Amino acid sequence: MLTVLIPEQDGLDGLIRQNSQPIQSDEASRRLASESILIRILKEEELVTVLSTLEGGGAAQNTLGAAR
Amino acid sequence: MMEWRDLLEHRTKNQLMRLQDDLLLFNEGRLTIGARGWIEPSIEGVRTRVELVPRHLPDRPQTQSLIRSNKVVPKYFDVASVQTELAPGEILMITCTAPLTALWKDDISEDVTEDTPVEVRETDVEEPSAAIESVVMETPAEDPEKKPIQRLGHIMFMTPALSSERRSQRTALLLIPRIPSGMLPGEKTAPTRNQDNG
Repeated sequence: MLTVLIPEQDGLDGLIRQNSQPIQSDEASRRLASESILIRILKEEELVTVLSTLEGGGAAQNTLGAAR
Repeated sequence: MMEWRDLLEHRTKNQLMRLQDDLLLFNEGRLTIGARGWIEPSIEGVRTRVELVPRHLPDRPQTQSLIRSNKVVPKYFDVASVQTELAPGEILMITCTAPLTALWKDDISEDVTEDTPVEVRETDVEEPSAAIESVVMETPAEDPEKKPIQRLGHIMFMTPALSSERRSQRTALLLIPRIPSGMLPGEKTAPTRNQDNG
C-alpha cells in the first residue's frame, strides 16, 4: 500500500477522474461519494504518469511510505 | 491479506459526523477503514477481490455492566462499505471527494456546527461514459463562524491547512495487489488438449 498526500486544489476531483477508471459498481461509487469517499482504479503502468499529472496540475505528490 | 487490516485511522473525541441523514457523535475511540483482499479465479482470469469496511472502535465499552463482561462493540458503516475486484496491473485508489466549497483554503476545525445539507449531483464532464457520481455537499453556513459537519471521507482523508501558507491535503491510499506469477496466465497460450479416442 502506498500513501500519497495531495495538496488540495480546484478541480482535483476532475483531474483524478480523468486519469482513472470507476470501479465496477456504479451504485457503490455513488454510495461512497455520498459519504465524500472517492474510489477509483488506476493502471499500475500509468501510476507514475498519473502522479506526475497531478503534480503538473499543481498537486505535488508526497509519498509517505510503502508497505505490503 | 485475507485478514482484516486497518488502512487508515483517525482518533475521535466528541467527533461529530454526518452519515446519510443521520448525525453521529463519537466519544474517545478511533475511526478506521478496515480492508481485506484475496485472489480468486474469474472468467476473464485471476482477480484480486478487495473489501473495505469503515468502522468506529470506541476505547471503552458503551454499557458498563457489573455482571456481564463489557466488550467493545465496533460500529460498522455498511453504507460506506464496498467490495470490488481488480485485474492484474490495476491499483485501487481511495481518497475523498472535493471538500466543502472554499473550506479547504482555511483550517477545518473539528468544532463545527450543524446546518442544512443540500444534495448536489456532480456530472463527470471529463469522462462522459463513466457513471455519474453524486456528491452530497453542504451549503456554506450563513454565519461564517459556523462550519458544516463533515462526512466520513473528509474526516478520514482530509488534513486541514495548518497555516494560511499551506493548503489542506488529501490523503490517497493506493492498494497495489500482488498476484504470484504462478497464478497468472502464461504469455504463451497453453497447447490445446487433443481428445484421445483410443
